Amino acid sequence: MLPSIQELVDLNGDIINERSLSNGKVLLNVWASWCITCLVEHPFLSKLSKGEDLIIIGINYKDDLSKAKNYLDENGNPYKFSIFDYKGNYALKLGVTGAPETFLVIDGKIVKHRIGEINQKVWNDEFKAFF
Amino acid sequence: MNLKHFFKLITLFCLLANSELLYKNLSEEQLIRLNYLSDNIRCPKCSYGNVSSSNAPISKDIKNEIATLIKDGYSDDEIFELMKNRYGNYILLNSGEDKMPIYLIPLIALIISILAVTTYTIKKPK
Repeated sequence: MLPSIQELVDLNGDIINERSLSNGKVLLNVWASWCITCLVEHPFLSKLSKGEDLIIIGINYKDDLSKAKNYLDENGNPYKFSIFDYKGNYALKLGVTGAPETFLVIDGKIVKHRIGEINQKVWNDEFKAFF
Repeated sequence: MNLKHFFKLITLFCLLANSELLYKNLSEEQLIRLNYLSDNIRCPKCSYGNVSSSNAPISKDIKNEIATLIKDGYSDDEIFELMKNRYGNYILLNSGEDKMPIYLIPLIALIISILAVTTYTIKKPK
């Protein structure tokens, strides 16, 4: 299950309604501007965000706010919104060990946890079955 | 006092100052529990080795969290259970899954090789 934590905020400082994380098929992607592999998988996430019946939500992990915003400005923003997890508290409760990591959450239940990059092959092998 | 000793002292001071900062709210008994728990929880990033011996940021986070959980009144079993639910069974170093005594493998290999060598080299008396 998704951990519950008070006061999740996005990169704009707006409070996030926890329900938005547990409604339908949500891909939670852990990213950071300091993370090179995140940059590698970024185009694939952008592609995903246009296709499947799926909401992609980012978890900005232990990052600097302005660097995170710059990163999205430069590389595009595939996320509906990103949770600003400055200290990594929310990620820690999820069981994140680093970035990038990706969770597939269906109606609030974690059905898949991928540690490391996702690309077309990983998607076909591990995620496709849920759609 | 020469320079070497001076630096040693500074290092020692920094270490003490840091450890104080991290876990100063824990009692002696709670610190022992913290050490026991972090000795028996695997660092999820390093695959081998426990949280207490690892310098990975995630290990520090986990150790801090264990300290918080201890302070919040969780028992050792509850903390192990929580970590297991979060990271999977492999996070427990004494999960009982790999009880196979791996240190016996060289001994077994030695016995097999002695048997193999002796059967092929020692000639039977005619």
